[in-house]
Amino acid sequence: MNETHEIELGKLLKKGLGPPDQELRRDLWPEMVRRMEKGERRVPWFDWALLAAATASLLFVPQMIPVLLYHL
Amino acid sequence: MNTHPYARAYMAGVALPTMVLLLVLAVFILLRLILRIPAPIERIIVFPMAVVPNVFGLWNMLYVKLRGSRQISIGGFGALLPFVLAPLGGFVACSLGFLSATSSGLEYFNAFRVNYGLLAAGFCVVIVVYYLGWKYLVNFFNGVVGIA
Repeated sequence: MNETHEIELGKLLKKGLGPPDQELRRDLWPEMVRRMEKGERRVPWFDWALLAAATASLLFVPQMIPVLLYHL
Repeated sequence: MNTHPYARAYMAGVALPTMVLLLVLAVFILLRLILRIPAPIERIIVFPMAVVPNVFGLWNMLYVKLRGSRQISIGGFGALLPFVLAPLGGFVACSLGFLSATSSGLEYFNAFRVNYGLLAAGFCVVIVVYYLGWKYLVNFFNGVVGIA
């Protein structure tokens, strides 16, 4: 590919893509804040189920509590 | 904040059992000094007080070392710890003379008997508690000291 072809190809690409956005259409900061708030770590359902099962076990069989305290 | 990662891992690992130890001590004082139960439970306190926090710290150091070379889940890694601590705790308890194994279960202070089924169920609960504790609390402390 020679230089002339490259220039033509560049022109064709510019024409095909259209002009870039020169300015922002809206304020992006509120969306950024929303994303940062959403970024908090979510606890998966499996962990909730495990926590519920462990709590229920300790409530129904309180003799396990000394075992737990001994090992923690 | 990139210096001494293992010292920071040790401190982050020790934090959780140290907090629980306060609860264990409160239960101990309530039972032994206030309710004056006759069993010498002060012998039990040696293990959670001296061994468990140090093992947590060392386990977290091992985690920090191993995760450098491979992908490890901190919850899963913490869930393996009871497999180390349970035999160690049993050994300490037998050595101090307040635990003996019988055909039906374990006997504490020659007074309280725990059957093996309940012991197995308790072990499963301990694994779950360790998994969750390491995944959320130890991981949080690792983040606080900058090694998460």
